[in-house]
Amino acid sequence: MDLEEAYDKIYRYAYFKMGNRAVAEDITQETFLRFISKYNNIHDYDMRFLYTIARNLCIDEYRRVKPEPLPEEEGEWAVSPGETPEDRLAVREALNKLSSEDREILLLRYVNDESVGTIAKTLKISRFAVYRRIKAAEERLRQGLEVEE
Amino acid sequence: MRKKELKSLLNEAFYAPDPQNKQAFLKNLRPREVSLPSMLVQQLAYIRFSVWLFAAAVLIIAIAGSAFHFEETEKLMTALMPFTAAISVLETHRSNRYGMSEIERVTRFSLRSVIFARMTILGIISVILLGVSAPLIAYSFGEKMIMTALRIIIPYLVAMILGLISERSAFGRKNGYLSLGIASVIAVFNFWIDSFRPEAVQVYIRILETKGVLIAIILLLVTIFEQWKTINNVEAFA
Repeated sequence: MDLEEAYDKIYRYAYFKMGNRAVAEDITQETFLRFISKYNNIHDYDMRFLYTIARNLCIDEYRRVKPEPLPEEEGEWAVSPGETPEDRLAVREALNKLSSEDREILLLRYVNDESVGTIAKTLKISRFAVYRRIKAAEERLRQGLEVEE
Repeated sequence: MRKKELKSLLNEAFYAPDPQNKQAFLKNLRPREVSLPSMLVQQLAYIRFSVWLFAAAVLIIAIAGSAFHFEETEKLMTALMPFTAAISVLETHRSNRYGMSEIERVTRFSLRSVIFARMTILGIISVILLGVSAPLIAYSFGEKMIMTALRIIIPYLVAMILGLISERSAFGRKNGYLSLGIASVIAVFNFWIDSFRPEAVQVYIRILETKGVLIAIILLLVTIFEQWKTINNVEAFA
């Protein structure tokens, strides 16, 4: 994975935690700078460490300033090019009903394509717990989508 | 719903607007790609003049001593090589000693790569000194080349190992030039044995004849290990 891809993943992760493009970008850049100051070489980066740093920075930012509501609450969702309005509404409504932990684990697994091992280290839980939580989150999302339909 | 469909739906749902400063940030973040040879050439310029002067002096002594059949040449070489080792150690730790490591740490090269490049250059200088002096002395004085090489390299490796360990120790960091002191002790001891204890020299030569190569290999491996430790812990000593 190249550096740009890693940047995109951390940015997406921070964006869906903080709900603000500028804050997400600041957190992403701070994540990389902190990683370099600790490990000295950006080429040896490990996604687990980057996620952990980003996660802690999000928590710090959350404590400092209450994050802005996610765009869907303001009707300003960023729109993906191939998306139809019906799909968008249904999936986002279903995602809104999930807990932030469920959304986080689905984002890491299905959008950022992270391995179960990386997720386990990032969230500091066992691999078995990751499998279980992914399955439960999927189930809840499916139920949410069925209700929407 | 299949996993593939779920993945596609989630990818669309978690669509984030493009970051605005990604390229500018990554451009500044990426260290300039430098190959090892280029790095070595760059670091050559930072090796102190006194190091080159000392290496040249040792080389001249070896060449002139062999050419003019100066009897003490080998003795001088065994006494001088520990100082070559000490100078290498001091040169490696120079950035820490003069507080330059802080600057090097924030530049586009890591401090480890700088130290590695310097160690490589100083290692090459030592190999050249040994590679030139050992055959010359052996040829000039009718000795076995392997024995001459062993007699020169063993004090060098011992001085290098002790120098690296001492410079990493708390005492060594407080008292600069400890490796130079160690080299002096080894050199004086060598010179004294060579000059005043011929029976000890005989024993030493017998040991070298039977186990010299093995001893040199072990010392070489220990040196590499100590250098690896120094490179690995370089930030801790900065």
